Amino acid sequence: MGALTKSKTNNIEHEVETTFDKPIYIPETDIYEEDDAIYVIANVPGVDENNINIELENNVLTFTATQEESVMEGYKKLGDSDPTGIFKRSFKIETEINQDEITALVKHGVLQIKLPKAEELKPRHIKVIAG
Amino acid sequence: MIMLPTSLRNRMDLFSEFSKMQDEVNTLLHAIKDTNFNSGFGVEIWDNDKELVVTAELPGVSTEDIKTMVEANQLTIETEFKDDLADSDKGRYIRKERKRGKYKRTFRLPYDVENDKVTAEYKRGVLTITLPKAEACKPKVIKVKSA
Repeated sequence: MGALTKSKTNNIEHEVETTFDKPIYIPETDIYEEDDAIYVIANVPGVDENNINIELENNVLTFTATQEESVMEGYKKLGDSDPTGIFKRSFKIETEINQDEITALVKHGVLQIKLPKAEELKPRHIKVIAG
Repeated sequence: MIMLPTSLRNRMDLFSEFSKMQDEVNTLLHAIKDTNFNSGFGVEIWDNDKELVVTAELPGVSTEDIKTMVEANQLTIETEFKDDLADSDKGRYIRKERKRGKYKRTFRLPYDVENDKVTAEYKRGVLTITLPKAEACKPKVIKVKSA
């Protein structure tokens, strides 16, 4: 088995299927939670930063990362390795997220999306004055 | 479930079946020799009869942790995927799927290569190794002298 997992995840009850001409791969993903943010970290080797799309809609985070085409002109491919394709995955985010502060960076083929938690309503202290 | 088209899978010729068997034997041998190594990272090999180009998907490793070796027409790629957040006590993992630990794969090359001229480059988490064919293996036209 190669680095790419092809199993289907069941995070979403109903997933709309895509009709790309490239294979869709489920990237290996870690989710790390800190007090003030959630990090989604995914292996997306061979992906240029311009070919990554991230969306957060109705509490569902979806990211799509298209690999650079590896087909080499004039070369013959040996073996039966998996062709390059598209990494795609969705997660339902249960925590309230501060949408304006979401940041993402890709380095050495690893995509890291930071989802800062929304600031909780601070408990209001009401002063009682003796009349 | 996303699968390779059946036509692609059926088209594997005898050669690739044999090389697969060889890989399996190699993996078994590695399993006996180095139990610390896994072998699961994606690799593509391309050939144009002048050079071989090998690409390996190694996301998130540092170049110091990549070892490539060519010896007796065998190419070995070895690396270690480290857990950057393992020591952090600021948070916790909810999901942990990305590979960790030491990985190694060895390939038998279809011909001898110029060991001194092998180059390797790491970009966007992909290692690309270029192995020029050895001069001795290139086809040569032999001039016939008349006696």
